[in-house]
Amino acid sequence: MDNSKMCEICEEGVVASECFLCKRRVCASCLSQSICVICNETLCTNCRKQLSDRACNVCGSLVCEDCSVKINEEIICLNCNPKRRF
Amino acid sequence: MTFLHIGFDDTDSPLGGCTTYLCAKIVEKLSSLNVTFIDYPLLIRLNPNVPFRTRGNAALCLRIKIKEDLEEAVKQIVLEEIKRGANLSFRNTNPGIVFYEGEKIPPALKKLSIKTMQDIVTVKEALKTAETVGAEIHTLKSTRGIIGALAAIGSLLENDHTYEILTYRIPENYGKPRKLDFASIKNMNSATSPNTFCNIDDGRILITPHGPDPILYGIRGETAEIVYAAHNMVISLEPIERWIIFRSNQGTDMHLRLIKNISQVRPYASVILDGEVCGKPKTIPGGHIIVQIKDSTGKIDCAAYEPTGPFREVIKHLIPGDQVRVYGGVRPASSLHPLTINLEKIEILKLAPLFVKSNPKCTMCGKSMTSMGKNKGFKCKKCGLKSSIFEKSTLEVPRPLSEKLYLPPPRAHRHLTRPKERIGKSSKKPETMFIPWHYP
Repeated sequence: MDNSKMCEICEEGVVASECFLCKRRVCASCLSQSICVICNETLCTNCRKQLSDRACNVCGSLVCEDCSVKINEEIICLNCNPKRRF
Repeated sequence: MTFLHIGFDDTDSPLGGCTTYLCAKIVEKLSSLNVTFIDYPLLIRLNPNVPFRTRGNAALCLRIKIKEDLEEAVKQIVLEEIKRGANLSFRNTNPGIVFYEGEKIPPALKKLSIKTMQDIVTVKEALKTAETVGAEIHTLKSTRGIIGALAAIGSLLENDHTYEILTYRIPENYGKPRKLDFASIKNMNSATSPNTFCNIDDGRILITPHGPDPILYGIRGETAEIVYAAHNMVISLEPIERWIIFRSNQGTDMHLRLIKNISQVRPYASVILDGEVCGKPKTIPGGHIIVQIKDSTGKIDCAAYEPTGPFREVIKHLIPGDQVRVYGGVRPASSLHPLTINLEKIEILKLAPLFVKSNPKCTMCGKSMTSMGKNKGFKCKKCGLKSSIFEKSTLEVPRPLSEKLYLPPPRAHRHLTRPKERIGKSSKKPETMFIPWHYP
């Protein structure tokens, strides 16, 4: 099969749609509610709007830049930050 | 005899622990069972851009040959050691252990391994591969850890590899400052570099980590012999509990994949991409430099962050029209920035000519003339010559860059980044193992 028509994730199914967030061209089984399975696993656990690019050093949840702060080289999510003792 | 491949991953947390340490302890226990190690333990660095990683995104693999009746005992040792040593209280620590039996590694595992280094792999994909090849999987929490465990088994490092000797502290010293004789590290570096690399950068020691993990220091090099010799040159001012030599994909650039154009750039991937600089580099708060490149399919931002130090100067001197090849990890877009390639290195393929406009020279005295205003010509302040026929002259000025590969300093390298000492080098899989490769 033509590679351009194959799902970018499973490399088996036929491309059905494009992921709204990452623009991967994926098959129906790798897509759910307009986002692909990769974006679904990496979505920010706080806002659920953007892809995460870090994990909170305290609770380990995946968060995006907007939902985290950097304190002394440590990434802290907005949920854990107010609970920290200084 | 049975060939058993043991892969494991995701046992540590930002609070402490280290998967390599568990590996060293497992090796000690298996050695007492008289198993035959058919390769060095493998330390496989996976895609450094995935958000799930703890620090360096490493997974481990042990390859052994054993009598059939020992198989269960070996599996028991591995599972117990990981259960005991993994930091299970941390939410994001999800240990995965995989056992695969067989002399040859199936292509599906090799393929998954490459994808795990260069892109992002879903748990579903990993589970499917495990089922296809008949691997035995064990998880202690969620199944995420099996991705790295499978990838480590699938990585044979046949075309290139490096070695790293890791030494470990006694538990009483965890979290305390590491005590090493700096002069001995300098001597070791002078005696073994470039066969060892990334030891020191501009007076700063790179062989010691800074976190609460059990590692005292690690030395990377081209052969097991050289890292062992280098280790013997370093004077430690605190006790070393154990050490082990790993074969690794560190310093090989194995994570980078050449993609055809900007439209193929995806979040979290590690890419090599050709493009043309299409805007002036911008400095943003924090001292980071952003430059935009384009091709026929679109435009994308490339970032050189503050820790890359002098590398940012290279990026600052780029001008529109420069043809470049960028190497780096793709950071997903956010409300603060678009999809961005975090630069790990850059190769300048073709420099565009840089022209500057300057006022004409006086034809009488040779002094630079000054403008009399828009469309009013120029005058010479020295001899008083005035003329409206003079125009600004265009001069090509030399560029401070060359058409070559530029790397950040070693302190800003990813574990997988090929350092300058390794450019053009590759190592084939060794036929015999150097002894000793672990203690105890």
